Amino acid sequence: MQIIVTLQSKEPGTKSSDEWMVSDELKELDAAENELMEKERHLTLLTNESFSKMKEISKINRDLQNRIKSLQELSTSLNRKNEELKMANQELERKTIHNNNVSLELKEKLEHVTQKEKELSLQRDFLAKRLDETTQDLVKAEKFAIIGELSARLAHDLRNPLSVIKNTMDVMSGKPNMKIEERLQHVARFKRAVQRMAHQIDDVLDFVKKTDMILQVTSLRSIMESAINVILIPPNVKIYLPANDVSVTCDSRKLEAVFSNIILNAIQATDDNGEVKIRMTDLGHDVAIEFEDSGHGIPSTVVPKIFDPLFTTKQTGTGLGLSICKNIVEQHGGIILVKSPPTVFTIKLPKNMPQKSRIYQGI
Amino acid sequence: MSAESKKSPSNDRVKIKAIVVDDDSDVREIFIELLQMNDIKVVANGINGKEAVELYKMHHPDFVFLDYLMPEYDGLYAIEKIKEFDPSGKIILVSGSHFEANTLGDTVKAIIKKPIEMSEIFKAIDKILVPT
Repeated sequence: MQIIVTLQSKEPGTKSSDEWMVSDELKELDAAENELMEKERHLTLLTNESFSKMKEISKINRDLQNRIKSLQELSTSLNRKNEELKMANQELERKTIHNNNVSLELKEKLEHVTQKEKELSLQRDFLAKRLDETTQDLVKAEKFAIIGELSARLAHDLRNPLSVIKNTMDVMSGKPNMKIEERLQHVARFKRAVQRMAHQIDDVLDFVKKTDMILQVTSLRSIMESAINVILIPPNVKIYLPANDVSVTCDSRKLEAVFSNIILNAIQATDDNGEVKIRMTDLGHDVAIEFEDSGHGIPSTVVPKIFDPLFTTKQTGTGLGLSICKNIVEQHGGIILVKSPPTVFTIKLPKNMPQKSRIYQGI
Repeated sequence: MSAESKKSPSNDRVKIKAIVVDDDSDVREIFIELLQMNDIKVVANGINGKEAVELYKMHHPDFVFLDYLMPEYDGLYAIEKIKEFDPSGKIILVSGSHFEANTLGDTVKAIIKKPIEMSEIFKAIDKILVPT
């Protein structure tokens, strides 16, 4: 390129003065050459510059490429992750469906169980009813056995006063001119015999025939007082009534019979010499009444049988007294217990009798 | 005194010694009075089976008039113990209960049911005394 430029500038100079023209032209050539060289240097510089720039660009390019690559990789990895998430999601969905199914199944099973429960409850009620019926039958059978024994006992017990009446009659008719004192003695015997017979019959009837309860809120102390009034208290026996008082819903006539029976037993236990203490404790819902006597106590072999009908340790007696007491207390929804020695009879009564125990089944 | 006992007061009966055992005092007392009115000597009386045995050993009576149902020591106790002590003892059971004969052993010679009928007592005594 340099050569071509030199030839073109030389041709027009040859026609004027050679030397001047040549040196001028040379100068011009030198200048052009310098200029060219300058340009060349500049070009080289530019070339170098552009080269390094290119290098730089190529480096940037490489960097970019690397970045793109890593971005691509990232994208791939993200895609993969996304895919995984998608799959996890699907799995979750599947599981949710499964869970829903299981839940549904459980619900069904629960319903089934509830149904079964209902059936069982019905069956239980049925069995309970059967048990009740069977128990009632057994109780009835036992009651009939008791009636048999009771009649035998009653017959036996009536024969004694009957014998007294008969033999007293025999004696009196054998001694027509009996003195008035002796006669009175025999009359007293008649009286006792008749009383005993009446008493025994009453006892049995009380035991066999359960009358309806006449319920009224009554002070227990007042019932105790009237119970004591009907008892002939021996002079050496002291009875202590409780200082407090509690009123309960009860059949006062029946409770009076219970109290007088227990107090009478207590007096007999002291051999007509000692004391009977009656205590009353308000337990909120219930009331506890305790009868303690200063007697020798009840033999431990007797305690478990003491409320059994026909059980007696006395020379005369139907063995029904405490059994009747127990029935009456239970009729009131209460309980009666005994501990000895010292002998303490405890009666626990609800202040307000539960409704269901008002219905009472006799023999 | 019953009509029968007046008609035929057996000579043997006059010498009879007896004990009466019954837990019921009214029964026991009036029975004793009636026996004595009829020339039977009641030498002792008691209220249970244990006393019956003790009185028997003490008095050696010809007859024991024995109740059956008594507290603590009953008639059966007395029957067994008296038989042990004296196999030829003569017991007349006087009771309000019903008994099958032959179930109480041969010391029980008769069973009289209350209310006590004196003619039955005499009938029983005569029957026991005649074969011996």
